[in-house]
Amino acid sequence: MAEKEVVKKGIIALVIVLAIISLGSVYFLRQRIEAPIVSGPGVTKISMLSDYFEGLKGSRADTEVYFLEGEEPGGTMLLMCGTHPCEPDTLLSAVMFIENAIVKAGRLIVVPRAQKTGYEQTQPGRGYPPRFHIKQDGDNMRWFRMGNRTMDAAISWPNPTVYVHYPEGQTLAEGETLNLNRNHPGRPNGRLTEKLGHAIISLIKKENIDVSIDPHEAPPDRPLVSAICAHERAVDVATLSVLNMESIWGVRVRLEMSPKNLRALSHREWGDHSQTLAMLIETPSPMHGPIRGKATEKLLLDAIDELELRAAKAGRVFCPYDEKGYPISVRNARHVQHYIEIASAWTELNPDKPIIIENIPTYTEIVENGVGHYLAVVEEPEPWLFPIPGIREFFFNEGRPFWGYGSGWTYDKVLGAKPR
Amino acid sequence: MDIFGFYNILYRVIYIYVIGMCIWSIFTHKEFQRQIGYAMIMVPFLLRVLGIK
Repeated sequence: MAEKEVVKKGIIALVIVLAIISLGSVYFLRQRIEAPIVSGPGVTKISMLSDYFEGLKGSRADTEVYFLEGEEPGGTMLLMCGTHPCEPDTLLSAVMFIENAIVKAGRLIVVPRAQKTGYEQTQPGRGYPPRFHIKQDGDNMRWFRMGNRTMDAAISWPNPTVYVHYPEGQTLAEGETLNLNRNHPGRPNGRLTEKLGHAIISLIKKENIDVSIDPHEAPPDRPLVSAICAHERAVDVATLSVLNMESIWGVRVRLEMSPKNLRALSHREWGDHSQTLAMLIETPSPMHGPIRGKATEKLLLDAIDELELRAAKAGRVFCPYDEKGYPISVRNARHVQHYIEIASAWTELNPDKPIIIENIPTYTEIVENGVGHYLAVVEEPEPWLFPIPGIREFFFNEGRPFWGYGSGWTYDKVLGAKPR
Repeated sequence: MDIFGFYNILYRVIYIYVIGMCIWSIFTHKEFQRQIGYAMIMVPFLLRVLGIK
């Protein structure tokens, strides 16, 4: 009898745990749902990064590579976006090109989510919202994931306490073993992040990529912000792009040289281990920096933070920062226009291998009309926590979730733009 | 199979052992709070082994 009681209570305990696991699993698995990206008129081919390195095949780090090929021959440009999934506009800028760009001459290769597993989680302890929403024309809201800076630690376990970079031997902190931008050029028999770095350099070599861009966002209190960091062979192209950004669009971007003794980063290793001209671009966003308040979707979209303003007034920031912040439309416009200026600078300096990209809105157009105006309308509903009919309406009251943040924020409420 | 593939199998074996021990403990302890405790300890290991997290 006593034994039957023990078994009965044990079964109750297991049922309780299985119920907890089921609810938690739904949330974890929901984070792996990717935001849809629509192939635009210029996309000619979609392949996988594992096509360039077999070791990535079947892993969660394998990711899509979009090709936009022009009818006329020319140079090849690579946009390696999403290296840090906690920097939301890098993905948005890639989506802008995939869904709009038409390449007239040369080729454009876009990797929208280079660090794919980073989009399946957010950074522990940072309190990021899991996703953000871009308002489009009408009532449509396009959702995207906000991710972690690094690869999912669980799939790359165990990590060394001191990370020794291959092949240069530079030592870095343990956390950097999972940071893709500290695992270039990688190696074929290393950890998953190193394999991912190796796949990227293989792509660059096999496709003979002439210009490679690694876009990022940085908080205003970080030294490398509102800047382009170029490998020494890429200085001419980078300089010309910076001059055009300032003279034509009024956007001041600092030009930095890639330090030769700072290894493992894209702008150094891509240029040293391949023929490509490697550049890294940073636009300002306080979201993932140390000086900021609550990490809300509002902060992600408008980049206005009281604590960052205080730091700016105390002279502790490295780029202009005021009450206007850096709305997502401005950050996206800076990224997008700078890619176009880099392509134009390459074409001017290498007229025999032009890269001509059309059908992309200008800096001014994106700032005025917003990012959502130029993204494809996706009617697929945003996946929610529980696939139970009516549950979303129960929890949401007038578009605002009861827990205070999330898909209740709308872009037009943040910036006051009128719905179209 | 490389060393990381070996680590992958090794930790899954260890975690399955931990899960098995927790289940054994659930059905060999009389106090309900202990049973609940062992069941809760099992949660992260189960999530990991099932590939959910």
